[in-house]
Amino acid sequence: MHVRPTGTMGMIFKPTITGEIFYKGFDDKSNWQPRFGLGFIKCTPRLDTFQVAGYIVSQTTTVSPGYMSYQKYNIFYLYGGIDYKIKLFKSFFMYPGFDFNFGFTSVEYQAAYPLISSEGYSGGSAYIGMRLRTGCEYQIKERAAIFIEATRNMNLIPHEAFFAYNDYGLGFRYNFSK
Amino acid sequence: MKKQIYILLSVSFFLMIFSCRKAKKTMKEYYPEVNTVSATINPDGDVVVQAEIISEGEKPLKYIGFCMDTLPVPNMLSNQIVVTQLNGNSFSTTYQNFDPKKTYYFRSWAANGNGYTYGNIIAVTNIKGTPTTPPCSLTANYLNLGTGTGSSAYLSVGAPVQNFTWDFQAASFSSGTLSFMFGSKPRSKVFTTTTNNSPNSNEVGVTFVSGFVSGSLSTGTKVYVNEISTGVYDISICQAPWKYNTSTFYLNTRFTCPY
Repeated sequence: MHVRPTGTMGMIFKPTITGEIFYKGFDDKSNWQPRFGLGFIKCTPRLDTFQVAGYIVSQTTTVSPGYMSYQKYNIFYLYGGIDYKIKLFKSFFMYPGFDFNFGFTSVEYQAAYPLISSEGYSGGSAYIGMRLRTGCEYQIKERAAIFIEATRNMNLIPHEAFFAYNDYGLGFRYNFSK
Repeated sequence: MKKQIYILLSVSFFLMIFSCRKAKKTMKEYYPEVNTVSATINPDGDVVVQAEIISEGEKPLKYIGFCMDTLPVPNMLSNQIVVTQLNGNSFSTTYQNFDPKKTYYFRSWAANGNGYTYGNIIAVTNIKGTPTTPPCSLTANYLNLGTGTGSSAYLSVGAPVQNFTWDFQAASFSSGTLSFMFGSKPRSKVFTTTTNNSPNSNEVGVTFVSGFVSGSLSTGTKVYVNEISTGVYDISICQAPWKYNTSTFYLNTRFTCPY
């Protein structure tokens, strides 16, 4: 799975490769396929240090040349959602879908703004989010299928930040229950 | 049913494609790009620094300005000036008070919502003003108030001291005491008199007390200052009008400061 951060997250972190494990229903009778799973993303910053500016605004304004560096930014998430399977050809399906996410970020960074503050942070936050998905699946055998899909993730850490990323990936699905 | 599914598919696809701000290819695109264009020495010894914004970056500009130091790579906080006016893509400021023996380094900077960047550095040496030439030739260290009492030699002239303005007094033996209030540090420059208590950087307030008579030089008279060595000035004022009751008198003086 190739994760491509967007927006502010895209400025800070590089695209990265990661994986996801999930369960998806294999019911041939229904087009609706519930799925739930978990994933982990280890984010790597695009720069060792980011030039950030702090501001002291009183009678005069002073702009402080600060910096920020990330030592760690990991994302762990659980999700649950549903896909709608559309048969295009024999053994070939397309499916749009969506999930609701619940996750945690584990963050460590240093930030300094001369004349203003210097701080280090190590901790994490919980977040909620949702994602939209479009995928295609080819059923190789009765019990096995391969798929590709693209996903748009939008997440919110309450009172702190919005972060989003796209991913596209290649996967393999196997039916253990038959 | 199939139609609804294709609509749902299309909506999902468009949301995925258009609901994001894609990451820029290079980090440079997130930050403003600024170029220090020139640093020009004015006849009065001030340096006018000009810069231009090449690009605002991914977010709108928040602040722009300059820094200056005698170190080759000035930090943003060194003699920082925040500029509030952008003319097209250009902005400028004026720095004052230099030691001609030193080299000064000027650098522009710009900050947007993502962070800041610096422009290139321009080094300037031997910064000093062009000597000013008063239109009259006066004997040094004499004061003539123009009241018909003749000229009087100076007893003492103080060195300029900074208290918001740059102030000093020049006391003569018998013609009273002149008080000067420069809006900026004295240097080789033609200043203009003002009666305002907060002179700007090109102005000077001149008041005097002589016995029971006191007054101030009228607005608009030229005061010729030449910095003959660091912190030592030759100051001339020619035919400067001042009013007392209904009469107008003309002051002439030339002196070395401090003396």
